[in-house]
Amino acid sequence: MSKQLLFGNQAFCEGAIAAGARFYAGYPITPATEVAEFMSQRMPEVGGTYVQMEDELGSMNAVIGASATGVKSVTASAGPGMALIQNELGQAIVAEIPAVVINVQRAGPGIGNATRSGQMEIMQSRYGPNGECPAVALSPSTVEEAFWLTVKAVNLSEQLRTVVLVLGEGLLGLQRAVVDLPDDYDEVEKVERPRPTLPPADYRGAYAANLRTDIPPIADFGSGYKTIVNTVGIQPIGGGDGSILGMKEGAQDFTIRRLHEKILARKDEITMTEELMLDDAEVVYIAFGTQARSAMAAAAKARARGIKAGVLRLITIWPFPEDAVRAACAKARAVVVPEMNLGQARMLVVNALAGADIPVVGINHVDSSFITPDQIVAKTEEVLQ
Amino acid sequence: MKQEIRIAGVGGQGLVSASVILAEALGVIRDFEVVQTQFYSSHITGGSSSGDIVMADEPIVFPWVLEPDFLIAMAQDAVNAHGKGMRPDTTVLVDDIMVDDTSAIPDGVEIHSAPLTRIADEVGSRRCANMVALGAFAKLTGLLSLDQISQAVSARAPGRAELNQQAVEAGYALPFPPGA
Repeated sequence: MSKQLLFGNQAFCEGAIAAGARFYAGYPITPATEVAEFMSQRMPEVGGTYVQMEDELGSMNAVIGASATGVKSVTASAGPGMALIQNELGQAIVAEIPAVVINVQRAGPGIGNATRSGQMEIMQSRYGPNGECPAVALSPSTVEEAFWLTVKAVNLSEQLRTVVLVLGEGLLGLQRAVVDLPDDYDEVEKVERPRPTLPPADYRGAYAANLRTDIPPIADFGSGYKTIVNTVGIQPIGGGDGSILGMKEGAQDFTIRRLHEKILARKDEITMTEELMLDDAEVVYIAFGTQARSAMAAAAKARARGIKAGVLRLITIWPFPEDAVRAACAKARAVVVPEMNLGQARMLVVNALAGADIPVVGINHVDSSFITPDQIVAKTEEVLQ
Repeated sequence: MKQEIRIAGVGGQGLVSASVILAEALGVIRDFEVVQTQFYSSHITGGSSSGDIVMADEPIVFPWVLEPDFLIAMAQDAVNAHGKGMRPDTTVLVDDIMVDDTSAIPDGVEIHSAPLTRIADEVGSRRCANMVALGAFAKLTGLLSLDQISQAVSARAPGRAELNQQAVEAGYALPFPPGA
């Protein structure tokens, strides 16, 4: 381990590389541009491939193709670029091609404000693609965590055969911090996708699953196995031949439910939270990403004023950690959700606490200014009155 | 101990670069906990710009500058934007070639003025005024020796090393009272 001053957008790159990613296709866009820039230098250094694509659509399709050959593959984008690739995300998810997409969130709809930060794609992460897609999304709050959660994202994408989103933010991607990371990436845990062990002639794993929680093996394109990027979805055994014409009764229901249940069955491994001073907390701050830092500072300030405040930091956004929210708020008189959007996470918290008689109050910035600890403490005092 | 440092001016003055070099010096060479952040508008040259640093001897929970302990103001806009609301114990370093009016800064705040941009011109390029400022900062605060700030310049800005080093030295040679 050695200390270094690391740029947030570089931390995403190093995390991906440490986890074994060896393909990056991208198109530059503020505030994610440096991810492509660093990858264009680093991929050749580690024996990987960097492709500067013509746009985000091309990038995501290249990632799907590269991953189908067995190479851990990554792209990054922001704002309108993320809007463009929603169809490709859905295609990768239904075809169960592992991929990691880093969204360095910027502010505003459409082109938005390139140099301004936001947390406005919480719901897009889950409901952006058409057709009832599941989501796995992780939200780092520091530069060091940007590294480790990108490692985790690559590993989860392989384990689950799905797309994992890393929800960065302009305020994190463009931040530098002194970090202590492993010098030798061989020491970093790496997860490989399930690959077939059967002889090629007996393999039908690319388009067959028995149970809704199954994650069938996937053969690499070019490895001698019959392979398919199955855009209809993997069918149950006997359910069809992988084409829409061959689909049998119940196959669609099985496919859509299995895409979710293979993830939800492993929710305990996927949903991560950090608890701070929650044991006696009367007021719980539920926060994520960079704004969790404000909540943590606010809790200390509130405690100094005699208010029993605690923080539940959501590290995993999707699947949403509902159980952790309920446990954190068991003794709460009020919940405050500070976020740089108009209340996307608050809606999820309200849903998780359905039936509990606890006010859930938002602090919502959409002007790209971070939420200050004083603003959170002031809202706390207002709620407790 | 926690210190918030802001280097502010307009796009094109190299303020973000200066803050990265300062973060390297304080974080990697001096071994403090450091977070560096930057703010700039999308038209880049001429728009407001700042490089911010939080340094501490313990883990940093909140990474952004709220009330700088030290402000380096490289343009009139920076004084106008960040001057008011400063605490009396703040220290300000002003480039008096670029700043005419410091009346936005409350009474009691310690203001040190120097013609940073003219010194940079004399060293050989106006573009190294940011390095003159870093040398002056090191001298004023005593947080960094000339050698330490020079090491960080070499690590982070190897491109025009000789010119940058001369600029840092010229800033360090300013007749400010050396910091504790």
